[in-house]
Order: sequence, then structure tokens, then C-alpha cells
Amino acid sequence: MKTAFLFNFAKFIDWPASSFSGPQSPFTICVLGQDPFGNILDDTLLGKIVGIRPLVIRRLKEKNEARSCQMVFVSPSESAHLSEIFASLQRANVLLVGETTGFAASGGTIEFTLDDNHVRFTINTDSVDRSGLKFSSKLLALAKLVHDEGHSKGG
Amino acid sequence: MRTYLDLSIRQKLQMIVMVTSAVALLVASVVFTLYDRSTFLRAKTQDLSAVATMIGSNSTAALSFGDAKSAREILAALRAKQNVINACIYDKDGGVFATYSRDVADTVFSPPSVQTQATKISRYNILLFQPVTMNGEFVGTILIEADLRDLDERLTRFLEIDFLVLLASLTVAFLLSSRLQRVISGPIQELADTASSVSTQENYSIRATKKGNDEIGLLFDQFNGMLDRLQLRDVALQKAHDDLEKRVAERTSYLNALIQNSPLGILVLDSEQKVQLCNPAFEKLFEYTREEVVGKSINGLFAGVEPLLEGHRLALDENPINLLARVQRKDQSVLDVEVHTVGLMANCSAPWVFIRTSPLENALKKKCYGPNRPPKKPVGPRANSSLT
Repeated sequence: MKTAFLFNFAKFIDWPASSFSGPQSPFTICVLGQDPFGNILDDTLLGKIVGIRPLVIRRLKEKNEARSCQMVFVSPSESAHLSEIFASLQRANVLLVGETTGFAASGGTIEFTLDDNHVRFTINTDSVDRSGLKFSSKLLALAKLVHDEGHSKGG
Repeated sequence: MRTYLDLSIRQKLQMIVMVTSAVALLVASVVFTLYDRSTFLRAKTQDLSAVATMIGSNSTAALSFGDAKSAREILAALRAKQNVINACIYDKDGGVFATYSRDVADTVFSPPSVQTQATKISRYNILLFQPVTMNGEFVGTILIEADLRDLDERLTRFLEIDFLVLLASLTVAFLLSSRLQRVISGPIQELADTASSVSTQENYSIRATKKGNDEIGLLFDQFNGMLDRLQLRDVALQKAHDDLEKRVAERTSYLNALIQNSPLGILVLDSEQKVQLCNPAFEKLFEYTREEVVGKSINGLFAGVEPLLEGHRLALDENPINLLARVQRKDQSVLDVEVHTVGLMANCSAPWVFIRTSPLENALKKKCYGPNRPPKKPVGPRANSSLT
């Protein structure tokens, strides 16, 4: 389910052309840390196309490799390093997706949640602004919206 | 039909105008109403299609992320469209994803199975299926069901207006036609009046005055021409009649003079062999007066005749008869005469008989019949009765 969501995010979010190395270069989804999906990710998404770009899945060990990705799924295994990861990937046109509780509130872009056994997601609008990505209002309409923790009142 | 034929021209014309107007108006109303209905339905379908497109576009994310609650919220916006009864979003596999019902109190809306793009118009509602696509990719289907109450209201209003227009138009048509029909019925009425007054007064000098040069004008001309000829003929007939009477009078006096002054006894019989006329010579010969003779049967007069008229009494026809006869005078004395009858055929059924008598020579009389033979009784009931 979440893998399909990852692909659907790609449909409702616009990446600037500058975030790709070339017009034909692939759309890359990266998994940072221990992959919780296993083969499902490849089975569900391999061969799909985002716009005109083929979809590519990479599994990363180092956060520095993530700058070339369009979407990074931060594995719960990296929950200890979230602030470093967010700091290094801020303003890099990278969509940060995670399922760790408090992922969005601490600076990530989209956080998967479970609501009555339905997968839902939370979006941090501050993170959206920082990422330079354009979110469809329809996507925002489906999400629970939050701000950075501690900065929420100030905006 | 009989009653229709008996109506006056004025009523017929008026009826024709009214029926024609009514039928034309009805046809126009029906066509116009049908046209309006189809236009309205097309506009309605387009409107619903636009709504469906909007709802579909708004629900792509909800469909993609399987968020039925959001989809229901999007559908709830249909509350602004009062005529939408039910709506449904199907996912791309055709399963029911989210539904909407205008009347929450109603029984739960159970959507029909999904269809590809389709519009179904029934008596009371309209069903519209429309696929939802995102970047050309099929993600689901929208169903919108709207009632046609506004169409019904519109048609009812149309019928009301049609009815009013029909009434008003027929009233105007009635007023106009009752004036305009006089162009035709007026002259015909006048002609009919003229004809009947000619007929009742037998006055052929009356003429109708024509109003225009159309067929009715022609009828007037022909009618007047006919009256002209009738009048001429009437005058000529009268003249001929007068002439004839004059000639008959002349001829009659001439004949009378001949008959009255003839030395021979002359009788004129009618078709029933009754005496119409006798001349002074006859009166003198038989010693009857005119009053005694006229109106009597010839057989009665010449009763007791020895066998002179035997076999010829009833055979008086147009063939001339010449015979000798012994007849009785009024004083029972016997006289032998020579009888000539001539048929005067005025017409076939009424032979007029002309009897001329003249006394015979005594010598011949004696030689033929002898003096002492008694007279025979005449034969025939009529002769009998008229004799006594």
C-alpha cells in the first residue's frame, strides 16, 4: 500500500526540471537505511513511468548519496539521524518520506500514519516550502497538515 | 357531415379558418415543445457532464490514495445542485468507492453496476456515467443521477403558455376571420338574395352588383347574363303568346263563321264523343236546339239509328268515315243522311270528331232501306242512359 502511495505522490507533486540531470534522466526513488519493503517495492513500481521518466529504485547506505534522488524514503532504522538527514537534504528538491512517528513534525515532508487500519499521511507545510517542490492542492487536501515543531506558532 | 353541409358559407368559412388556425398552432406548439425538451435535455446533460468532470478532477487524489472520506466530502459539494439525487464514485476496478444521496432520510442509495461513458434518460431522471482520468490514466468512474423535475415544471409551464397562446390566437383569428370572411360570403349572400328575390317575384329585371373580378365576380356576370337572356326570352315568350292568342282568336272567329254559316249540319265531338258544338244548319235539320245537343253523347242523339252507324259508333278515330245513316229527329221522325266524320287530332289521346250531315235523296233512301223498318235500339250502356 505504501509503495503505491510513493508512486502516487510522484503524480501529485511537481519537481523542478533542475532537480533532474537531464530531460531523459530517470525519476529516482531511494530507500535510505534498512529497506522495510523488500521485493514489494520493485514488484509494484518497476517499469512504471512518471510523466515521461522511467522510475528507478535505489537503496542507499549514506545520506550524502540522496541528493540525486527525487524522493527519499527514510527507513525507521535511520530515526536516530533524522535531524542530520533533514539538514543535509533541505532545499535540495528532495521529497522526504518516512513512517517514524513525529517524522513530519521534526522536519520531514510526508509521514505515513495509520488511521483505523487505513494508511493516511501527514504533510509538513514548512518542509514543503523548503523543498521547492509544488504540491497539488488535492494531495494537501487529503493530508493532515502540520508545521515544524516549535516553530508552528510563529509560522 | 350533414350538419356541416347545412351550415351557411359564413359559418363554414369561419369554421375552416378556426380549424386551420387551431391545427397549425397545435402542430407548432407540439414541435416547439419537443424541440425545447430535447434542447433542455442536451443542456442538462452537458451541465451534469461538466459537474461530473469537476467532481472527477477533484477526486483523483482521493481515488489514488484510496481516501473514501475525502471523496465523500467532495461529493457532498453536489448539495449545491438541487436536482442531483444520487452520485457515486467507482474506483478503477468498478467497486463503489464513495456515494452521495441528496435525501439522507431516503433509503440507502445502492449504485448500479459501473458502466463506461453513458447517459440514460428515463421518464423521471437522468443517469450519467463518466470516467475519471488523471494525465490520461483511467482512475475511476463517476455516476450522477439527477431528477427531471425542472423539465416537468418547464413542460407544464410550456403547456400553460401554449394553451393561453392558443386561446388568444383563436380569439384573434375568430375576430379577424369574422370580418375578413365577408369578402367572400358577402357577395355570395347578396347573389343568393338576388336569386331568391328574382325567383319569388318572377322579376327578371333585377340585377346583382358585382364587387370584384374574381370567380365570384365571374359568377355575378354569368348570373346577370343569364337574367338578361331570361328577360329577353320572357319578353319574346310573352309576345309569341300574345301573337298566338290573337291568331287563335282570328282563326276561331273565322272557323265559327264558317261553321255557323254552313248549309250542312256540323257537330264537333270531344274525345268522349260528347257534342261540343253544333251549327244552326244541324239544329234546323234535326230540330234540336243547341242547348239540347251540347254535352250529350253522340250515340244518345243518334239512337235508334238503322244500321247506319252500326259498327262505327265507337270507332271514331282519325280515319275519315263516309257512310249513309238513318237517324231520328227530335220528333222521332226518321231522316236518312250522309255522314262524314273527320278526326281532328289535337293530340293522340283526344280525337275530335267532325260530323257533317246532309239529307239524302228520297229515291236512294227508299231503295236502300225501305220505309217501314222499325229502328233498332242502340247498343252500349252509355248510349242507353243518355237517351232516356
